[in-house]
Amino acid sequence: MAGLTREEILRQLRERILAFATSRGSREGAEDLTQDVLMVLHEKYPHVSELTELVPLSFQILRFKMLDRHRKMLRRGEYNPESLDDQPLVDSGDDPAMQAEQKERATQLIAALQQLGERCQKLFRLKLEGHTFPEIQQIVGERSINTIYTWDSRCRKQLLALLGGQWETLPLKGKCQIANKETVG
Amino acid sequence: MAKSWEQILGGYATATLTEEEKRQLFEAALHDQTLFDALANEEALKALLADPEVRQRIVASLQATENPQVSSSPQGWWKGWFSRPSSLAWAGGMAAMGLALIFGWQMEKDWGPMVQQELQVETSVPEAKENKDEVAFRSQLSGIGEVNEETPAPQKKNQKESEPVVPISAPTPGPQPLTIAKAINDTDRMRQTSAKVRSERVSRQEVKKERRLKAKKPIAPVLESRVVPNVPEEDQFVAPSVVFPSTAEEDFQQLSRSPPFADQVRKEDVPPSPSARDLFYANKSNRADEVGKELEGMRAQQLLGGMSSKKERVIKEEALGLVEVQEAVLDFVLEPKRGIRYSFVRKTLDSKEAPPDITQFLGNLAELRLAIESNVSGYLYVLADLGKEKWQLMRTVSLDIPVSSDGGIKVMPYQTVDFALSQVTNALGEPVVSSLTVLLSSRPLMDLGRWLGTVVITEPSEGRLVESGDQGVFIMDRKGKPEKPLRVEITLVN
Repeated sequence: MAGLTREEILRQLRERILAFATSRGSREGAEDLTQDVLMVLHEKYPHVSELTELVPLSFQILRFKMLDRHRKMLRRGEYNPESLDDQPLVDSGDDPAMQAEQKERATQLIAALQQLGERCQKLFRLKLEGHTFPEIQQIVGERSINTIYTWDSRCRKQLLALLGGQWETLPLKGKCQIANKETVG
Repeated sequence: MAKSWEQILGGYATATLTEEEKRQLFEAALHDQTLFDALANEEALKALLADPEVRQRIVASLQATENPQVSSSPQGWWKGWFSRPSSLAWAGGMAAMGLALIFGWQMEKDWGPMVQQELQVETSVPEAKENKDEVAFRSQLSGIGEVNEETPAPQKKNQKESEPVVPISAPTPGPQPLTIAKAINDTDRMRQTSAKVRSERVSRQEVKKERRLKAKKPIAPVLESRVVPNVPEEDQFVAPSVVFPSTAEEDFQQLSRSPPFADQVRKEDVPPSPSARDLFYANKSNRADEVGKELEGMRAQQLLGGMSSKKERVIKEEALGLVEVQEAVLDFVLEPKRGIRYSFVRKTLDSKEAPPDITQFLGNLAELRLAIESNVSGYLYVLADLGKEKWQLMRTVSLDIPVSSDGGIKVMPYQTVDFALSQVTNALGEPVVSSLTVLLSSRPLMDLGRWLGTVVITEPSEGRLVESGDQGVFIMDRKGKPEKPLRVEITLVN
């Protein structure tokens, strides 16, 4: 497994991305999305060949592409037909709405973290300070690293539950579901 | 999804997984759709936490929550520990004990040799005093008759011992130095003790016998020479220069000897002017240096406080001068000067190699990366001059680093940013540009073209410090205005 070539990694990535995108929308849209991601990887990042760089890079591109598609669909009025004049102009720069959304998400995350136990808060803080799990094990003074993994896994689940089961609440998702239902119905 | 992968999933968003953990996790994700989906969902949190401001905000809020309780971090633990009254009392006690020990040690150092001399005197004086004691003893016997020697009153005995001596030596007491007075008191105390021991343990006949034998023995010649007739007994110890010339000289030498700190002051030259590398990392170690300097200053004052001679005054002035130099350097350092460090690294499968000399590098340039680090936060622009006033903005290898709308890479202090040189090389790995331009600004440069003209290139590099070493090239901008970006040219081809 250690000697995976870039082509092999990309082939497996294609399958996974397609399956993931299909679970989030239509098959047709998923194929387009997968193709878009692979195109970016091929054109802009031909020098990236290591597994530990290529996989997170694909996740990042996938996320951007998904957000982009949501925006486009909103602009086209696929979710909620509205007059184009009511929609704001597209700005290629920093999107104030996105910035505000990110700020809001950070506030929500902080509020959720405050509700966690002392141990979870400490674990999260240490992770944010850049400590790896082995380092956290030493700081906390635990004998087994598996204890740290278990604590972290539980804390993550608690935090995710406090945030409603998703790290990112796409503002369009609700509208998307409603629109789809209306279309289907 | 396997249990173990789920457990280390939490480290992905915070980017705290080790290389091995990452490799295992991503390998597993390629074969496990559930894990892949979970990782894809984690991407949103990862993106949120990639913003340094958000990260700091969360850490600050968590620290604020932890602070009221006793934190496990060393700083928090100390704060918690010191807030307890019992801990404060313990610390106070320890401090007092430490001070007492230091004071005692200092006293021992100052007075030790003198006390030693006095003790030496005491060992020799009783023999010289023996005759006088005998006289006193006889006078007591004649006056009182039977003396109960087994239960003597020390104070009375002291009086009785000293009284008969007075008419013989006719003392002329005068103001004495403190040391001598102390020595006399000690001598008296020793005399009382020895007399008491003798009277308690030795019978009268034995005492007489012993004294008779001692009378036959000659008195130590040294003492004979020291005892001056008709001079009060106490005055024999007044002039230490006569009795113990060598020891007194040693004392003088000891007093005039410079303390260890003064030796350091003399040995160490004036600190050299800081190098570009020192200045670059100065922001990092400001606080530690400040505390260290304060402690050193306090120690210097303590050590120099007790000196009075001209010599020590000179040393003190030298030390103060040194402190002033240190303060000047510190002032310079406290005002953060921006600078960058750059190096070329070759990314291999295992580790990064030492940075090669890029102008003499004959290999494939596309295999290299340009690593840039700034000592202040700001926006970094790396541009390749394509000619005809066309510039190419280079992208970072990592996508986690936030970028402003004009392409400025938002960097935190001492955050290394890598740029793949494959962006400026041809298929053969040769550079297509002769140099790269780096701009470091405190805020996004919305008018980037303004800073890329030829006029700016000829801007004098006065006030800049440049230092090359194993860790790369350090460039410090000492006199640059904060509103202007720091511009650095990196030559790729000679």
